[in-house]
Amino acid sequence: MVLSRSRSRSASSSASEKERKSRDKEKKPRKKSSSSDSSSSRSSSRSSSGSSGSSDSSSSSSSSSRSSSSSTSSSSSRSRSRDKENKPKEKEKDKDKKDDTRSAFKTSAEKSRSQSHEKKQKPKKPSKSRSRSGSPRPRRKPRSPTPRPTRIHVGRLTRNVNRDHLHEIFSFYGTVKSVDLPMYDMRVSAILNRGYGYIDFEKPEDAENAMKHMDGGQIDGQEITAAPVLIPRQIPPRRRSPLPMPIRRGPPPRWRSPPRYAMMRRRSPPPMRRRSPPRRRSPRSRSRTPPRRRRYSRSSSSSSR
Amino acid sequence: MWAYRSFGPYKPNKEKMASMIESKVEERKDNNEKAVDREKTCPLLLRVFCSNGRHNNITDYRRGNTPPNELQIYTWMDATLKEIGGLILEVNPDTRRRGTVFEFQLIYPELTKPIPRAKDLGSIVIGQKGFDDNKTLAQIGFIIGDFLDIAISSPGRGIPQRRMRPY
Repeated sequence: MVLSRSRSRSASSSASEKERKSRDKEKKPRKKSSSSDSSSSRSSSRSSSGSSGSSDSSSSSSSSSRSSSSSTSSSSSRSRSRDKENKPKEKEKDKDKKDDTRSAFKTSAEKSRSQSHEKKQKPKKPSKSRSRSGSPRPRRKPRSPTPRPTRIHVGRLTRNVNRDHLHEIFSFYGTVKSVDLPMYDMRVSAILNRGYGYIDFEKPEDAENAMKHMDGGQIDGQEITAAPVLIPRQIPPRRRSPLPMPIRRGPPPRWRSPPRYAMMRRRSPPPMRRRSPPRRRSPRSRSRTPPRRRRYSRSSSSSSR
Repeated sequence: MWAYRSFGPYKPNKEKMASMIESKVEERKDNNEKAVDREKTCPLLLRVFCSNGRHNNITDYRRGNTPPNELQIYTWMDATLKEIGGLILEVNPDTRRRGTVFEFQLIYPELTKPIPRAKDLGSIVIGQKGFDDNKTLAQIGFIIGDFLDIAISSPGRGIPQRRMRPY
């Protein structure tokens, strides 16, 4: 927790108060190894997991949180670490850091079980995070059984058929909640039905019974079709939009989002992140120098006068 | 429309006359062979509108409206014009005189227009045999939901005005 949080703070403004409070505790682990710090920061910026290897004290309580958030935060931590370091070396450094983290984890693993637990997860993640980031958390809910349909699609209806007819015919099989018989647009024709309709039953058994009997049956001398229709469920909207959509200035906002997401986003952001820091630096450097010069010139000019 | 209409028999291509004639014959045979089982098939509702002398004005059918005098007949797709005419005779005893001419028109809606279109089907004469006697609803391209408009003319008038019988 300690190390990563502090570092992450500098990298991005996402540091929370909790992280700041833990600063004090972080001092010791910092001294141990800079490489491990950077690596730990990589592992988790928010949670304590990042510095788990180095910090022994807070390991037990934070380990659980680390393990859970480690997978998510690893990507974020990477980005933040990159922000500080040079870009061309990032790749190499990442690898180095990975090695360091591994060694650090190994040493600390002996001390606490929680650390070892993290150790298992962390080395794997930085090395093969892209491929295995999805594996640690399958999060696959057991598929619920397909809901039995209560809605029927009735096709090949003649023009003489209207809603009352359908209601009367199909109420023989059970209580009919509603009948939908779409008509053509008023401009086209006010009286023509589109040749199909939907019937909602109260119970799925009634719907199935109706389908069983009426599919291939006849209404008004014409053979009709009866088929089940799955009532569309309202699927909760997936949170894809927060990732790429928001048009923000710099990379940090983007870095925040990946933790929530999985593999997919990790691949895309890295190149972006690498490029971004240099841009930052150049304007900063440029912006800094001119004012200085101006000051000198002014002073000189003033003095001359 | 959501049902395909084939008006082949009435619009033959001269170049393909020979083949068309052969195909026509085959089609008719097929149609005749497809006798509808009236015991097992549900009858369809056929709405018929009669008028004396001339046909009803097509604007009477505008936007789903119908002329006042309607006859509802439950029949099958293999019903002939003669059969339908016979049913009307039962209802209207006035038309039973020999030589009464029934002119049939098929009223079918056009999807994009409010006014339906009328298509001449032929005519029958009470007490006489005609060419159109055995035309079935299936053969004329009837779709369930279409109307039939019948112009009943007394025997005095003789040959119907516009209709030219094919020789």
